Amino acid sequence: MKQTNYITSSCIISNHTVYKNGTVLFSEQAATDVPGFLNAVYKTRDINYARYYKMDNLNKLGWLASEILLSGGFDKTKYRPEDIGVILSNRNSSLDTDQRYLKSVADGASPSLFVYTLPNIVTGEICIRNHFKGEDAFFIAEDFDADFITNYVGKLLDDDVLQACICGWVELLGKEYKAALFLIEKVKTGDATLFTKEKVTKIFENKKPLQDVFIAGVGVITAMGNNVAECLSSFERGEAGMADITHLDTVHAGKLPVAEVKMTNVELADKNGMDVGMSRTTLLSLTAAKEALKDAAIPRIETLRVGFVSANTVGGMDKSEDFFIDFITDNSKGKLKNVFDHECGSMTEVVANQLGIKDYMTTISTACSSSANAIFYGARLIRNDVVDIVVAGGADALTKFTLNGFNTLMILDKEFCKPFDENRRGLNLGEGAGYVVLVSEKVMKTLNRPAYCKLSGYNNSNDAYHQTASSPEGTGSYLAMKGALNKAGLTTSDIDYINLHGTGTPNNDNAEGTAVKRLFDPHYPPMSSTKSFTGHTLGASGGIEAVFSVLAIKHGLIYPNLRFETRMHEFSFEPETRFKKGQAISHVMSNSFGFGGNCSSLIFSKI
Amino acid sequence: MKIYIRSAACISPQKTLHQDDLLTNPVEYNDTRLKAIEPDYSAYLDPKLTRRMSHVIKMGVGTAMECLRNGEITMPGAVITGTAYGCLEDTVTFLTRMIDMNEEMLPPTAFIQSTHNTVAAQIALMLKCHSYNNTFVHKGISFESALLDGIMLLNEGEADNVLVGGTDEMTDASYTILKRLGLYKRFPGSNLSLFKTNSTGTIGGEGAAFVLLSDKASAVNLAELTGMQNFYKPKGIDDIEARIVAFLKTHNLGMANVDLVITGKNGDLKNDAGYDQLANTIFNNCAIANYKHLCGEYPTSSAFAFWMAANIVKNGKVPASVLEAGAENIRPKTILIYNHYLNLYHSLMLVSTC
Repeated sequence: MKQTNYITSSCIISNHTVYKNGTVLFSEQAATDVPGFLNAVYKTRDINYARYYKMDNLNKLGWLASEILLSGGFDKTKYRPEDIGVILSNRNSSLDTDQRYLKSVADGASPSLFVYTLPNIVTGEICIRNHFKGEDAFFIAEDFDADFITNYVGKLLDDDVLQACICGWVELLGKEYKAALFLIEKVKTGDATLFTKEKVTKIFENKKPLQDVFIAGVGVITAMGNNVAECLSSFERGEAGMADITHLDTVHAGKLPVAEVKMTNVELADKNGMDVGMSRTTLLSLTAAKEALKDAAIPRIETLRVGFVSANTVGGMDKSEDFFIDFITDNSKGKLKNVFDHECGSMTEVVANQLGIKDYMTTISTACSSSANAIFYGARLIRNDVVDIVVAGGADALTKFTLNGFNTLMILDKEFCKPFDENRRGLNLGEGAGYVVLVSEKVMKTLNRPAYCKLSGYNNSNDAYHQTASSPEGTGSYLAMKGALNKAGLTTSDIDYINLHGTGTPNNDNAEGTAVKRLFDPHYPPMSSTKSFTGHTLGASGGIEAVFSVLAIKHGLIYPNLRFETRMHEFSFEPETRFKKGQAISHVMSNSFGFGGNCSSLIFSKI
Repeated sequence: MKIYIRSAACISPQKTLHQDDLLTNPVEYNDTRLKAIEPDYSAYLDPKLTRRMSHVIKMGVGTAMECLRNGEITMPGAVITGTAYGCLEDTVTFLTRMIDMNEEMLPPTAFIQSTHNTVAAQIALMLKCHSYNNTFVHKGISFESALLDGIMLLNEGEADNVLVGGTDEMTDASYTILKRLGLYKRFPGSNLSLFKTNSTGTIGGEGAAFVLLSDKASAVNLAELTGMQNFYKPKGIDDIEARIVAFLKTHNLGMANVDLVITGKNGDLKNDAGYDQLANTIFNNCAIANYKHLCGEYPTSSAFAFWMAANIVKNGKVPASVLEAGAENIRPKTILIYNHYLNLYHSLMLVSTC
């Protein structure tokens, strides 16, 4: 009969560190070699066990792990000796000692080495020490097989062959070694956990728990508003930012609607005290990043390590277009100033200099998922202790290059776009910037007001289907959303709102919808595409929509999907069409998918 | 945790794609623009696909495939690229047509392939690799950013066999513009005597280099990536020295433990002044090698240096063509790569025997 079994103790020895039940018990990084380290561990045990000195390295490792595993609490007198078993495994059997033994053969074979040329001596040494007499076995496998161990040991316990069992992995070859032992019992004690494949794997992997990353500030500029307050107010009024082209000098003006930021370059430059000759992308980036940092108002920020991770897709293309008009007629012509900041990285560098950020900066460009990737790369920089704070997001200004590029692909709607509508015809391009200020837990605790929420999940997967089109199955989107849920430790029913990528092209909405259906069917959370307000802001969209997602949690909002009329025939769900306030929103998923199959999803969660 | 360089591959203005002969007979150029020597890509790529691919895409994807082949890995756990300029050729093509044809009747191909993530995307597409895929585009630390991403993925246990590369191409337009910006020497000479020119300006280059990172020990591993660090706008040479010493110290090393320093000297007097000062201070007891006379200066050239360091460690031999000071017969166990880009972005990478 299948019963519930528990892991009542665990011990990991690797990287010159001993872990008991997940916490470090002993570490000796100065130890020069493996035997030296093992002897140092032995000395901490404060016992005198003469047999230890006779053992080979593999046996010392396994025996020490078992000593630590059974120490502090395990009462073996509860069991009969024949009720306690030892089931171990490793990759290289006793190869480490086999090789030493072979070397010794030339000078007269060493009997003390010979006796350790069998892996099961490890289980033997543990049984001798503890007088265990239950079933013991030693399996050889390429890698630790949690599935096999849980099934095999589970069966021994369920069938009452054993009442308790020590199981796990003891591997040692030269400088590489690892022991991971588990004590499995039928009775739950203290902080025992369920004996499942997942738990065993998690303990075996022994990863440092990653610290949480919080959102302390937000900043945004789009066609629907020049800052957070204006954007929220446009959402409430249901006012989209699309209109005729006014800033771009293009033949498409008056024919293709776009979502331009309403401020001119002169106004943006004035507001930021910048030279008007800067790329518009830089000006938009600086505006939103400044708002985010001001909003975060981090105390004593000068004492902390700050990074800037920004994204864009075409760098200073708006200026390069001016340069090229003269350059292609004569290569000695064209103002160099206009092409000097062509690189994507230049946008980031100029803004970082303005913000006084120098500890870390980089730029990401993965087409339309760029700034979603920037945000979670920023979070990982904090989790890996590279910096304490990261301003992360992205910016893109409208350019003739992208407008014409998308136009050649015939995916621009001549009317205002209708994401997730049966009769959608394409996207409207937009421009803007959106940034969040990510902080470590330590910084979060110093804030003068509560952080907005945390970034709980993220994932980047590739559709690997086509350079520009999404696969009909929405493979990349599906993997991105699923991976983000896994990372956050959430299930689909936890998600209260999805901010869709929802460009309004037939292809994207179909692929994304299919992926949403695969993952969420039949219980769909409210969802909408805020691109029906902002247009598709390309490299900025992930950042802008992250800001909207954070605000959705903070204010309990669900944004409407404008102009939606007819549900797509493929699906049984449709986007939310009304602006909703006062909702209970704990977890928001934000999708960003791009050319090159780059698909990313972020999940923001209430603290 | 240790991070190993399981394999590496490089396409550059030198014959670097097949590594049985590491830079022993360097190719000489008498020009200020070094072009990559391209292999017969049909060995790596479907000719139907390459027909439409631009120079940088072919270089990048071809190098990535060779790197996987060298590492005997068919499916990487992540693909991460660094490129400062992205797909310049396609960008310029589309931009030029757009202006010439007054925004009418434009073919989409150049636009489609102009996005900076095209190389990483094409690798994913060819391998049907759904894993983590990212592209960094930050000037002279694009490759270093990609490398840090790879290191973090391994640290987090998120992926193994992380394919990391740096790619940049030089086009006629970018060469002309960078020349007008004063980056290159006014009079061409032999690249092999680049460091004797005693003048300002460098030579332009291009290339692609990929490495496969893993946290698993293996007999095929080339080297260990012991550490890396970037810093921005140091306050002066003292600050640079202090940062290098501090960086080594975080890895329990001092300059005495470094057997070879690979510097980013590029033949420009102004650019090289810092390296020359260090050669008289903290690097004064070290063998020193350079590499930009072989591949030219470009923002992701540090990927070339990284590829070179991994191979030097594996071969146990420093090619005479790169050695500036010190004995030829040393077998470096620990190599420090120190490069700076326009004196703004400085990068340190430590490569050692595994």
